[in-house]
Amino acid sequence: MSIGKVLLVIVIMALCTYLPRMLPLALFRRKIKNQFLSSLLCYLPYGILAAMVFPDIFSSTASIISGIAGTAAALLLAYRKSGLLPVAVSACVTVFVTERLLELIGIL
Amino acid sequence: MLTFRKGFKDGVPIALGYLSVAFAFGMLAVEKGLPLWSPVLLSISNFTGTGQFAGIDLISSNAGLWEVVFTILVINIRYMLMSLSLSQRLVR
Repeated sequence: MSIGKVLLVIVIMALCTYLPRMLPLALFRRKIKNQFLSSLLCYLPYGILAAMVFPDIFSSTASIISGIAGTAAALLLAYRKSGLLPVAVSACVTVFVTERLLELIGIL
Repeated sequence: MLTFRKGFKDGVPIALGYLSVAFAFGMLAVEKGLPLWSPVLLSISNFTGTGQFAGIDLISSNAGLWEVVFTILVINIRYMLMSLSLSQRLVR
């Protein structure tokens, strides 16, 4: 691909990335009164993120056992209202420790 | 200034999460033989992890411009709903 076309592709990508995010915020300023719609929009980010995480969270580690352990650690800390970083780091550490333990007892 | 520092602190977990993705992105771009400036420019001008990975594939396979438009729009269409959701938190 020529330099000019690469630049053009990057500019098009930037527009197609920015416009879907900016337009709803810029054009829609009213408060939605409909209870169904407003609760739908309220819970939507959590729904989208959950759909991105499950069920991959169980299969992306070396064993499903460590995946379940990491998920459990993350769920517990998130339920206790820990921040994003403590939740993520604890889940990673739990997976690492669980997999070393599984190696020790010869499952992994 | 206090709100700036608070925003910075709140953004640190997100930034750390993207650090590992950024390494993978850079390695993929080099592997596909793209010139060094293009993944850098792509990262500066685009705010989308999945979209950037797709962009590297599109550039390296010499895709048509409409193909680029539709791929990136489909990847980012969920953020229309996300922005609509955010707009409800900004108005009172």
